[in-house]
Amino acid sequence: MPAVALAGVRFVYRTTTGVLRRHRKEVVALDSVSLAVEEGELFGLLGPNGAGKTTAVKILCTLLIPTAGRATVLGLDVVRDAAALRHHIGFVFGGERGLYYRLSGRDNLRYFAELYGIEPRRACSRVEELLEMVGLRDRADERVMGYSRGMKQRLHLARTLIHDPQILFLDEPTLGLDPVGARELREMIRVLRGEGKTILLTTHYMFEADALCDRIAILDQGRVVAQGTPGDLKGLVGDLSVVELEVFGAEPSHVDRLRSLDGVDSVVVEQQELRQLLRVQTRLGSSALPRLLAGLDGLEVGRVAVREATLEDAYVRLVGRVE
Amino acid sequence: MSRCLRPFLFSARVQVLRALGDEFLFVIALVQPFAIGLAAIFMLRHRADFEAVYAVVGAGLTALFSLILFGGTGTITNLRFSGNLEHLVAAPVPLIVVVGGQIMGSVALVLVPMLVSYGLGAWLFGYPIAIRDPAGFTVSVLLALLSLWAMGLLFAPLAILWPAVNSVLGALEYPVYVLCGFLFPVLLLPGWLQPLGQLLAPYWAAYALHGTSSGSLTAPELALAWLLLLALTAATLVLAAWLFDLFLARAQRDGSLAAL
Repeated sequence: MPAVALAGVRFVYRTTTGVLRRHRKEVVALDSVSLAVEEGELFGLLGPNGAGKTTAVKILCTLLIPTAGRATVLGLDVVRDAAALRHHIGFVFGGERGLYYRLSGRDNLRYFAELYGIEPRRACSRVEELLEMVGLRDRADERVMGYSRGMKQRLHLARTLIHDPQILFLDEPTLGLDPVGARELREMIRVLRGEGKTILLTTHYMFEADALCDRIAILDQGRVVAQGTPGDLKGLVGDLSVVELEVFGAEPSHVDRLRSLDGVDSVVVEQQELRQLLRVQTRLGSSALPRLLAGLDGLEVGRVAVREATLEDAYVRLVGRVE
Repeated sequence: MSRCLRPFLFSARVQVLRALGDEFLFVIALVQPFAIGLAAIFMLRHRADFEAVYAVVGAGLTALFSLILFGGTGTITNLRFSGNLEHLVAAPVPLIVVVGGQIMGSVALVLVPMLVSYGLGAWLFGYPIAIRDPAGFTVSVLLALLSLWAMGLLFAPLAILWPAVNSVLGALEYPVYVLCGFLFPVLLLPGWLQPLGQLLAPYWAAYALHGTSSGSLTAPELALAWLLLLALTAATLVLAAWLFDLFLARAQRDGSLAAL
């Protein structure tokens, strides 16, 4: 039995528009999504904004009721058995909200220990243990409003672990953290995985998914478009090389010209202040360079590099765009 | 029971810690009852049957009702916008226990400064504030707090389920003061308006509090008031529990637990 399973899950958000004449609007966030996460596995969920990653996580955390299909965690139905399931799961959502800012870090943890029914004496030692683990012991009695973003995120993680859940849902936990903070958090995730916890992680950072996850599913427009190990997914673009060209003043016509060249699979443009970075996926490797440069039609070209395709390149091929 | 009692008490504690330094609560707890009590004293002091304790108790009731009204209607919205609602819903304790604890925390926090403001008022203006039936008054205070707390618990899901109702509730602050006889007897109202307040728990709270402070109620009259307060509180709690379930089911279906 998988630890986490979605079977044909669909979720539709219903909103209204207009002031005088109100119109109902439906947005399909998940459409027949099926996937399974095995016990002890660190499973990544990737996808662009609006792909349905957070919706999937919220369904599994019992916060949303699926419009259709079935979701189970540890064999418990997320709708029917929600009350029993809540003792076994924990979640972290990216961002700074979701803490009591006027309370200290320690009081935040004590409060949630009470909500999860942890026996008072055990709660005290658990709080100290977690404060130590996330490196907040020295600042534990300060109000959370004075914490940095990284500290708040670590406190989120500590709160999630207060009842020692078997299953963790981490929704973009490193969002907005500085590189050092993000690295520390990734290290904590590795430690938790080493302790045997089952973790479902959503992230925008491909290198993070590549480094941490045993298996990955890519969601796009509410559907699973691929799943497998990072190696499997990279294999989808194994025949491709990526040529990176740093250019100045590229117009859409330049990009269209490159896309139309023989042997070019895709071109992605990343604006970097005054310059653009063109990532060209091609089966021709470095031999594509002369015709690519010719296609740029005299544009000023800076750095040029040819490399093997990565998970991000597989993602780009599957999703067709980058955020 | 203990599964809910500790989280309830801790939620109250969290609310007290959060509210320390909250300007809105400060105004409701200190400034509003003082100002309203003062206005009532100046309005009523020339009447032959004037008793300062009536104005003092009435001012306290206005503060409590305002707190319950605005605290109650805003509780879930505030939790949603602070991002805490999802974490509370995902915890094993029912949301009504947590919200109930938080509203109780606000009520408890308001009582202390309110008492201070009474003492200050009495000292400043030299009016004796004597409670004629202290035991009856104490029980009435507890029942009044319970019934108003239950109303706050009812307002919390009501305000978020139907935003239009929230707007109407917001406008009910002063009408309730008047209809329930907080500051002056309802006998001063037109006859056809007087029974309206009797449908509301605050009316019976005011009736019992004013009656025990002035000693004007007989034992059966007081017992009836307490019974009605308890009955209205129980009915309010049943309705609140149903509305909490309705709110949660709807929010989990349309994805509105979190504010974007």
